Amino acid sequence: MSDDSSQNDPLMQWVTFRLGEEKYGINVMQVQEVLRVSEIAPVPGAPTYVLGIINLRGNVVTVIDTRNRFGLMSKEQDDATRIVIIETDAHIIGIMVDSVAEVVDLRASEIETAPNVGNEESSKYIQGVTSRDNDLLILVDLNKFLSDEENAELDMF
Amino acid sequence: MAIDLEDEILQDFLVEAGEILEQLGGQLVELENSPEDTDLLNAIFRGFHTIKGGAGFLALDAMVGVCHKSEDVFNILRQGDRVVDTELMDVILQVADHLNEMFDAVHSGNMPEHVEQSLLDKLQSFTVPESAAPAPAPKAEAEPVAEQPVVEALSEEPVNVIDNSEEVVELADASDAVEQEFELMLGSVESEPVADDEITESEFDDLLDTLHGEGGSPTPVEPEKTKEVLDPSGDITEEEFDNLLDELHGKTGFDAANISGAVEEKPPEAVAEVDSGDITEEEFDKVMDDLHGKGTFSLSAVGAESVQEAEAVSNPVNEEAEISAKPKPVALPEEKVAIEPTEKKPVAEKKPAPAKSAPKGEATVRVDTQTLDNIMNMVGELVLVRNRFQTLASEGEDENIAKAVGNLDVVTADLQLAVMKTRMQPIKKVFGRFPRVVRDLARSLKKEITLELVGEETDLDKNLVEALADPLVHLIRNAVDHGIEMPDDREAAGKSREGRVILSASQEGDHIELTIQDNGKGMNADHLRGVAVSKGLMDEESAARLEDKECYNLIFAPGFSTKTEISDVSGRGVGMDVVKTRISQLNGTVEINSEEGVGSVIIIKVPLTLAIMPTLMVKLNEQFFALPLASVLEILDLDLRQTQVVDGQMVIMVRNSALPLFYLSEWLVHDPAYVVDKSEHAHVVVVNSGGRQIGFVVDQLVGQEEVVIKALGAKLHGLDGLAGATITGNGQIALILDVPGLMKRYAG
Repeated sequence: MSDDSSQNDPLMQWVTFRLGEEKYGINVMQVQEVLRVSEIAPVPGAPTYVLGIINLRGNVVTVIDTRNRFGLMSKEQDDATRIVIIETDAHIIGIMVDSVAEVVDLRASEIETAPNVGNEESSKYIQGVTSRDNDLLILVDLNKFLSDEENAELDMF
Repeated sequence: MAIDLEDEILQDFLVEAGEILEQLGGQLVELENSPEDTDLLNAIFRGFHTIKGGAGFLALDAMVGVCHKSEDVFNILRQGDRVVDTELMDVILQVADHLNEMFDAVHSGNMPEHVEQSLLDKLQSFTVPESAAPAPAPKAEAEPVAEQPVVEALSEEPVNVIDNSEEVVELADASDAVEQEFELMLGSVESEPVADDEITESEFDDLLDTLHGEGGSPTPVEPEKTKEVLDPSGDITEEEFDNLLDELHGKTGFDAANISGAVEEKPPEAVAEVDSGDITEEEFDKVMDDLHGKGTFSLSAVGAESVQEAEAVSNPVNEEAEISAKPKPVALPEEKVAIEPTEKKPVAEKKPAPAKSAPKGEATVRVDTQTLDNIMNMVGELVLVRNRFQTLASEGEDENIAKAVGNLDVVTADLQLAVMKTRMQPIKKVFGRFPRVVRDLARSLKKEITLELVGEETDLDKNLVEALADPLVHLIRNAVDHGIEMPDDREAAGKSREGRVILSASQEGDHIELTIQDNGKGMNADHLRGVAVSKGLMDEESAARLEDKECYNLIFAPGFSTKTEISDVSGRGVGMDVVKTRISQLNGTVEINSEEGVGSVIIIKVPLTLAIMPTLMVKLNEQFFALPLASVLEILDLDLRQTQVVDGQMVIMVRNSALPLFYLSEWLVHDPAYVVDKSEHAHVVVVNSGGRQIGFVVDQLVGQEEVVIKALGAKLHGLDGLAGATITGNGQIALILDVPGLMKRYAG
């Protein structure tokens, strides 16, 4: 691979996770760590999509129910359930997912803009899609995922 | 024009000027009470001077202009040529207000606006000694106009501001700048021994001033006048000389030769005296600042130019010729200093010790509050780890571990205290503004009031100091407006005409107690009941049931005001509500006592610090919750079969009074699997919420624990009833409850 091509077609790494039947990817630069589910303390009065808070080595981190955000039915936690700690706009936040799969390398050229798939809830946060091993990988735009609209919703409480 | 707030020098200026302005408010009011205090006058003079220096460097012309004039006024005052009177104080206080506004503007990155010319004119009229009063009127106008030629002549210099400018202020600034250049040059001249028996800096300075005023057209003088003032005193001091010159300068032109002749007549002591006042560190700084600020011009060139200019204007001044003969070699060493500020000290030290207190810089370090906050956070973490260890150690059997943990406990506690101390500031910082507030209010309300400050040195957490400022202002205004009566009424009531407000602070154990006491008319409980009913805050029956003390608390209710008319001082019924809210946010309490005809006292208690809070841990459905200990009154074990329902509210009789009961778990546990255990016996935590006692039924009591408050994570800010979260000794998360918020959200 020549330098030229890598400049025009930057390589990006994505952490993939599963949620129901779909496989999603988030930019590895925004992922701080992946945790097994520990005790989550519910917060009374919090919005429904907030599962609660966890103790991350002395810091209090909010955990979001990603299934709820994506309009999926909630599911019992199991051994594969993980909390992905991500950083967006100086916030540190945890998102709970069914399982975390792998880190994949993608070139910008491999990413297609999102077709109108999925339900409306989830399509709002989609940055693009790519097909991989006959599987569709949906790339999530985290900044949209935790967008202002959500903040506005929170202000009502 | 925007200001670069990132600029470190600007930041330094903001810090320094901020401190000075803060002090200035108090000093000015103090000055009104003791107008003869020379130390105070000097301190204020220095304050203006320092701000002027900094502002000049940053090219904040508006600030420089007004500071310069104020400095002149205080120069006259400290020389005793004018006494402080009300009129002067009003103007100076106005100036202080304007400076504060400008300062705020700079803070938010805007260029400060010039003050109105009328204020400057008023200031200008005070820069004349009172004895010279007959002729001051034409002066103010005459001077700036006369300066114009000089300024234009100098416009080849990079001080472009002055070009075409019609603002008299700027002209004054420019001439000031020129004067400073001379000062600079002279400063360097003086570092050479040769200059010693020649003309001194200040004298030259003054000559220069005069030349400016005269605008290059020497006219016959009144030599008699000069002599008259000079001769009888024999040894003229720098200050007198200064005045004399100022006087001449305003009134008429003069022959510089006469003056320099007069200078030569001065006996040696006088010269020595003047010498000792040479260049203080401050002045030097200012000169340096000016250099930096202008940046572009060549120092020696300006020196030569200006001197030549001066020469051209006043040929007969031969002494000056001597100076101008060697401006270049002299200016050079100075220039070096300007480039390398570290050399500043040695130069400054060559001079006799300035009046300003000697630098004791090594003893203190200025630390960014952010750094302190970080340290505080880390200590917080440490406290949590210690708590964890304590829990673990208590589970284990090992004696050695228990000992080590004991040690850790002691050290952590000490460290916590020490770090807390670094954040402590004397409450003086807040108190300092009140003399001014009281003075202004008293004047506008035509009352006679003295404010007494007690315990100004009491230290408390920096954040608290800032947070307390607003509530205290409200309370002080209230005491002045509502508390203290009009002087005539006081006299009629057999009291002294002058009312008294005492503001005191003291540390009581782990909290700070602030009291605001007045000897005014006090409060009438029945009147308050009446107002509460008329404002629709409660019905007559419940008002009648209130105890007197509860009535006093009514003044904290939102929308409550005893004033029938809204004034700009009070009457909107907002202030006291704000006070109450703010104080409870700080985990503090407000108590009020009053006696009709004698006065009222308001007692505020706040914790020493906001970062660490003692709490009572309770459990609901196996989840930890922390109740701030400040709001917990007692813990009861009650038989819940004896509860009654009154007005839809469950209550229980405790010591013959009804205690409203709430199941906390009904509010805070949303687990559908959880069933509130309403068995016969239950733990009840009695808390104080807005002066009311309330019982919270909890599942389990855990114990007392000091916790570090952590803000709730992203997406969870601003939830009513929760003050934050913390991590318990066993590593679990506990939510910290905010009792007033809980009541508002669930029981309001």
